[in-house]
Amino acid sequence: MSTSPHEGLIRTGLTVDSGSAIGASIARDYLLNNLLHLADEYAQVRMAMGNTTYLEALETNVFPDRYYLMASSGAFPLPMRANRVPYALRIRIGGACSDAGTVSFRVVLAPPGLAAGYANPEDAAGDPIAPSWDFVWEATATGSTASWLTGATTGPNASANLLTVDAETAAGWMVNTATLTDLAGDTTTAQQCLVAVHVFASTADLARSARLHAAYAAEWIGDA
Amino acid sequence: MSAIWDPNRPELDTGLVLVATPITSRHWQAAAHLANFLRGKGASLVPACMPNLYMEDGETKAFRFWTRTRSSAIQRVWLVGIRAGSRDVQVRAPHTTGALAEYTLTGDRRTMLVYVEDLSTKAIVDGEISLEVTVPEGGSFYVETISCYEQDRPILNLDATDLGVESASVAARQPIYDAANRSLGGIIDALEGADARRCSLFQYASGGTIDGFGGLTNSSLVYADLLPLAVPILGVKQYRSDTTARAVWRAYCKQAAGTGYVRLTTTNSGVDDTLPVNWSTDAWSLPRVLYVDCDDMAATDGRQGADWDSLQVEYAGDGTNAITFKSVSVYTGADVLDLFSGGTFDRESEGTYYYSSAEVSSSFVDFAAADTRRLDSREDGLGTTIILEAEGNTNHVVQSEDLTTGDWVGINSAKFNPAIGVSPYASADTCDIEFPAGGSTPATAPQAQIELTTIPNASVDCTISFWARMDSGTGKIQARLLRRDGTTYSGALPYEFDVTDTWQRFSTSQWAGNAGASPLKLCLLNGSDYAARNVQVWGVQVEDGISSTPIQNPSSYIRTDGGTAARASETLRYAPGEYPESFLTRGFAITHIPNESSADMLERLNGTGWTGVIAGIGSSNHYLRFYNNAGSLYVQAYSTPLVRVQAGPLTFSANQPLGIEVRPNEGTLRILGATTGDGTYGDTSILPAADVVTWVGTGTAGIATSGQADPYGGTDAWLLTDDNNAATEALRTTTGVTPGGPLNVSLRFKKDLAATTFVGVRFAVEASEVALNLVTGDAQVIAGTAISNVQVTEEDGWWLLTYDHSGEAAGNVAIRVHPARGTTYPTASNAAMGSCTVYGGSIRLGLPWSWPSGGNFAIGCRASGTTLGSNGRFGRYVISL
Repeated sequence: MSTSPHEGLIRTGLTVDSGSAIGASIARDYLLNNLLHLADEYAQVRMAMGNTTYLEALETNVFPDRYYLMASSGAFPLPMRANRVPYALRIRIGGACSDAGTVSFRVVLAPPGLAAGYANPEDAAGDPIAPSWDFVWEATATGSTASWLTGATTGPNASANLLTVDAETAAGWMVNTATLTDLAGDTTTAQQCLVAVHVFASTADLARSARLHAAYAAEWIGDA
Repeated sequence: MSAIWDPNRPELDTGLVLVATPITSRHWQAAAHLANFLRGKGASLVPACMPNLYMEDGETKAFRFWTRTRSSAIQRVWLVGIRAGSRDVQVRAPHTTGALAEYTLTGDRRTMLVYVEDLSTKAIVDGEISLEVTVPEGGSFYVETISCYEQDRPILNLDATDLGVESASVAARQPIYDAANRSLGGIIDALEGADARRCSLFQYASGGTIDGFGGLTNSSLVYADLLPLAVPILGVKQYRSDTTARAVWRAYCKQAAGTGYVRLTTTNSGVDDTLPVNWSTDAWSLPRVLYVDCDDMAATDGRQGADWDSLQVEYAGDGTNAITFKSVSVYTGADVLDLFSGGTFDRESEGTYYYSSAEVSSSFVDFAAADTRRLDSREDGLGTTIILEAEGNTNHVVQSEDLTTGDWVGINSAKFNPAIGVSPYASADTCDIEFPAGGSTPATAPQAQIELTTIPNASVDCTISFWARMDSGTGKIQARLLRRDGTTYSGALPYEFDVTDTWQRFSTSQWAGNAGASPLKLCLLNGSDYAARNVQVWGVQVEDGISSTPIQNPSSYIRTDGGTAARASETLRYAPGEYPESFLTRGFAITHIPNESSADMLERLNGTGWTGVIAGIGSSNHYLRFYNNAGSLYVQAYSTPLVRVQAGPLTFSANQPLGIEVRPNEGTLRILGATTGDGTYGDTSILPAADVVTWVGTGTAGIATSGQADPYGGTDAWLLTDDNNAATEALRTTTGVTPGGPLNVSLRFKKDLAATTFVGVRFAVEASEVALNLVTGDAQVIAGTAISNVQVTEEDGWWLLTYDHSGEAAGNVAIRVHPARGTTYPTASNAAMGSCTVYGGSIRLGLPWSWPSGGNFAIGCRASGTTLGSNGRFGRYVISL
């Protein structure tokens, strides 16, 4: 939700020079408001895909009920809010089953190396357990007609379409990425919450497979 | 000192910023860090898309995307999802020219390849970004997904490009002051330059070979869906009351022949925009505008309602020929001038336009009042409604609609029946001409005649036009002019038209006769089979023609009722502030549908000269225009005193959509949709600025010696020597190059404080010449009028001489350097002897320029509002590049 007082940009004919005084209203309603709104709306689209074909989990037939990777957005730096909570991710997943049966999908927002673990959580004995995070979303698809899936995150929010990560979890996901300071080539590092949207699928029947037809994921300021 | 980027964007309680209370340094710090966050955070250029392309051994595929990048980025991160077994993959970006990276994959699984593309410049680029994937040897794989984002900039420069705000300048106890990149001044500069766009909303690339193969095809007229499910699309909210956000889109495609289509539709926001594709070589279309839902800042998930606004992309051929569809990009950031509103539109009379097509409606014509835009919607596959602009003209037929008033006369038993049906204009009935059977020649055929009381322009053909349809079935009708010759009339053979039961507008042109050959009669004759039939006729017009071509397009209909009538010329212009300032420098894209063919344009002005203004820019004498250059038609970007770049020769038919992109800063002009002549013109080096070139002594023993020290530590410079007292020169030559347009020349000369002679530079075949003083760097034109904009800059002990050369240089262009042009600068003297050291040398087609600010931006007329416009229609939006 908006962090700017006016939930949008404010126009002004303000000109600033050495002799100008900046009053509180200009500072608040123009300068700070517009900066905050622009930062709120910085949110980027990270996945917007579909094709006449579809993606399938490669290993679906190996172990029933285990979730296998179907697609990933590739890791991107999720923007962070002042309280170190990342922006939320607004998602929509379009899928189907290879036949009239039912398959399950899990969408995981996490660093690539951790995603499979979140998709297939286990207890101390190594037995599968249900995920319980708001950065893991699950749904089922029945039938072979492509459709947008109805699901919810597995954490306390049970959100229909918002993936969220708490500050503590995000802190553990922060990495330093090598990059450049400028075109000259001097190097530095950028501190980033480098995550990807992963789509996993599972089937209890080894004769059928899940199909990913479309996926959408876009950052959103959220309500931290 | 630097501008540091905080990965956690600041938030602050603006409620604590109170009137009459000092603004705390904490707030200024937050503002500075927010500004740096907005400048430093990278954008998503390609949201993950799904080519899911199978590639086999040895294949190379290019994936092309179009977007508008941010100016502060210096790296792009490409992520390529590959499904493969154990094999190698090669990737580079951009395609063809990027640094090649090879990846070795193991195991049959999905792998995400990461490729970092270092950029050479920081700039907003409204253009293509691309990725190339190769299967080097053995095996095959799927390219399942591709995405790309700009890498974050944790440290910004304190300059006018990065607009970083120095962190220390907003520390506690620091003064608040106005300075570049510091304190309040830096914050405001950063805010005004903030580019927090959601750069790309949707991207798709199917992948294709670099030489044109690949892509999705469809020859059917029935649209094929790109997406099995319409994909969500949401733009950024700008102002609080906004419910939609503007985006632009382009498609990379081609149509084998005829016209294919790409269509974008959305579910909530009602987008239904069709791109006609009438080019046969892979190319990006011109940008088109769409408005989609924007975020709702008060909603939990930002959506405007329960339904997602979602995008579908479809493509279709023409029923016979296939469209090849490779990419579509929906992105943000372009400024737009909406020609349907704003500005000043003038037309001192009413004007006619189509509000629908005759194919779908029995009435489809309407009249716009004076000074009202004509928004044409012919449903002819040219996309959404477009604006019509034309020069003035007169209808010499005194009764254009009601043939029963007595102005028209039935000859050879032809007669008129009133109120037969609905005319093309819904508020008027139409009558028909009842042709009985009989007759055998144009003279004896039943016919309707009307005498013209005014005389069309002599010596050129005038244009006859009218709408006609049968009561039912099909038939024929003929038309011709009769000129009086003494007491009798004579004329050319009539032109015959096939008539159906759907309204069609027919036209032909005939010679009106020499001055004095009046009065004229217009005759509408029964078809040459002389069978009995009734033909409904409406909207008859005879207007001054423009050429002697057999058939040409009439201008829009001018109705008359008892006397001749005129349609005034139209002008549409926008004052400074009403159009994007970037048009003048970065340029714009415009769609123009000329009312006449390229051949008619050429014939209208039978000789070299300009034939119509597409857009007038700035003040007078700055145009985007059609130009007849020695019998060939070009589009030229002209900014006094020079043609900066020209595109052509072009050929096209009447009503053929032409896409025109002009980029002043780059010196380029692009044409899309012509029958011949499509392509990007300008910014083409015809003599590459290579470091190794060959100079050849010429004339009377000029000496050229290679192996001299060059500005970059090599030995690729040349010593040119004039060792006698004749006109000695050295040449650097191209062969087989005919520039076909204005040129920009650059050369480096070694600074020589001991030089006693100066240098002369010119083209081998032209007299215009520049003199360069090797001691001071002064330069000036010493001969001819073709050279302008002479500039010299010093770089590491070398003079970089650049100048523009107008006009069309001859083929085999060569730079000719006279090492010792004289001893007393700038007086030329062949007797002088001396030498100079030269390096590089380039001749570039197209001259970067900027149109002057402070003037109008006009469509289809000059910036001053006067005409000599290009008759035809224009796409709704002019879009910044």
